[in-house]
Amino acid sequence: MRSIVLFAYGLPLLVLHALCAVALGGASVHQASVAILALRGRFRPRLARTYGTVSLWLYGATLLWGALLYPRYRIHVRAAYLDAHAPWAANLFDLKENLATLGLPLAVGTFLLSRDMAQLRQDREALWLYGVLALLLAALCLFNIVSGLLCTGVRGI
Amino acid sequence: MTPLRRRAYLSCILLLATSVAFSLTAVVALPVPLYLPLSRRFVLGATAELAMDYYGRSLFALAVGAAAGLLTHLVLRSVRAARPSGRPMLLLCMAWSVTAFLFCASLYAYKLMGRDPAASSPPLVPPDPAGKG
Repeated sequence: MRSIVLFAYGLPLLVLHALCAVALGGASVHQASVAILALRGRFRPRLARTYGTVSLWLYGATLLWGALLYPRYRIHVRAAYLDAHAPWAANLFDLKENLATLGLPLAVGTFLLSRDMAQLRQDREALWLYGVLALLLAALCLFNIVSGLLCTGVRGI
Repeated sequence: MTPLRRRAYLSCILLLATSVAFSLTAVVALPVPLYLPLSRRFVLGATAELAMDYYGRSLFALAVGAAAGLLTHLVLRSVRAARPSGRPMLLLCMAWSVTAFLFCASLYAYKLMGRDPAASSPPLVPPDPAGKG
């Protein structure tokens, strides 16, 4: 069992994954707030740029740490416990992982659009796109954080 | 076309292509690489050992999204001036992208919520390559 890749680094990776996820939750929700304010005519260019950049980096880091942890989870958590005793948690975790991959374009899109708030101010359609992507990203991050906490509460690595 | 518009269309195509490719991996048996965590290697095709298709499916969808995004970037860069069509093209593009994203998320939720995970998990012991049990 100890031959699983990065087995010895499981706990530090999990802590990193959780810290990045919590920070990402904060950054993405703040970005959604900035986008909603912009749609109502109150623009915060510096905040939009900052949260767009931070969200993208944190999203990439969270996804990477999670992907590196996945083999250990698959063997020691899902196959050894969740499949038999809490199938709902195994399914919820897989949904979370799949949504995490699907959310990467959202993080890239909000990053690209947040670079130039001055132009966004003059282009209402692009501003709507920024708002929708930022809201979807925040909702996805919050769902994944809650799902991760629920699954870890049932059985951690 | 302004640089912001180019980035906006790029974002839409990235989301659309990734969502469509990821949806395809849920309904069509595409030959994506499988990772075998016990043997620590990737294989193509069916195996009796416990396998993970998450890496392969994710890489496939993100690669399709990146390729479509690159193509869009190159095409839009060659467009010198946008003709005003009077139609909200970006909003239409956004609607398609968001619909594809929501469809893909719903498809995975539907497939996973009705799944029996134990049925898709072979035993943890890796098969003996020599066939001695």
